[in-house]
Amino acid sequence: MDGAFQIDQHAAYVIGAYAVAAVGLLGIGLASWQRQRRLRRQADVLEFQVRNRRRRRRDA
Amino acid sequence: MHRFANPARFLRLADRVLPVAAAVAALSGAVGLYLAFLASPPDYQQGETVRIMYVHVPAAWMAMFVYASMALAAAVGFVWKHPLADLYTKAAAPIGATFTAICLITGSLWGAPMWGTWWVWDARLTSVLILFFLYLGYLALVNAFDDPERGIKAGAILVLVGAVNLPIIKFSVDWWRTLHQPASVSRIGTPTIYETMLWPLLAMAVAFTALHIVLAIWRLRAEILERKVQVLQTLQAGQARTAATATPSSGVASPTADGTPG
Repeated sequence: MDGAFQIDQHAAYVIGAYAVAAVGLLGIGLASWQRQRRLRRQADVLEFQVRNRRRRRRDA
Repeated sequence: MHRFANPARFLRLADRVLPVAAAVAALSGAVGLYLAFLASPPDYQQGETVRIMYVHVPAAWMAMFVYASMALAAAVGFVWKHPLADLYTKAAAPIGATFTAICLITGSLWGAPMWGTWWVWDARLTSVLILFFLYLGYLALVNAFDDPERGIKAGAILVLVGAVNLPIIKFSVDWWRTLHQPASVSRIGTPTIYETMLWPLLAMAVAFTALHIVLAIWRLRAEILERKVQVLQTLQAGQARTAATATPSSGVASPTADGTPG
């Protein structure tokens, strides 16, 4: 391919720019995904506990 | 719009949108990278460094687009008291800050070989730096209050006031003759950019937009879940208090009014 990227004296700047973008987007992506996953698990556990306690009270 | 004020309804819609947006982001990102690194030629003046533009320009567009969407959401939150609009403003800020940081750093990495300097106090660069500080200021302000609702309201005012910076960024290259080049894609009429360089730019812009949708859904879902967790914790505490008062002879010492064990 005649237009393909070639390593020249400025290649480090190009690679650096894409690395910065990749690290930034991966970082915010992983942080966002992990936060909603942790909170969903926490909400599920709490919901189960509240519902369980309510049922036990009703049965008693 | 008020149909989606109900978080459960919004989450159902988000579950349907999320895989589509993720697929579009992955696909257009892959196409964009292929076009950027393999199909588009080096520039006759800039050489290989032109490839930085395919990530720098979409990041700059997203930095402004996310802030504009936050300002719109803040206005909707103020006027119609839409609960999800307020949450969106808070959820989108870190995404916008990330895009702005990417824009500033990649711009600097392009400027070093092309302009011979990492930074100049050019009108465009300075106004984008102010945008970055607006994002940081919003994040600091919104988390500075004990009552999260007050934090969101204060942050919304900051976002609306800061929106004045958006036209300054857009027209800075026309109002002041400085180092940063004027618009070449979003011009009225035909773009002045060659087609083989326009396509990777557009593909990456689509990828960044779709990625923003994915990230915004994740962060909005987290904000909704955080409130749900707070409600459930309050409910749980209430249940524990009721259980403690209902069974005083259960052997568990309940505290008296002065804090000593009963």
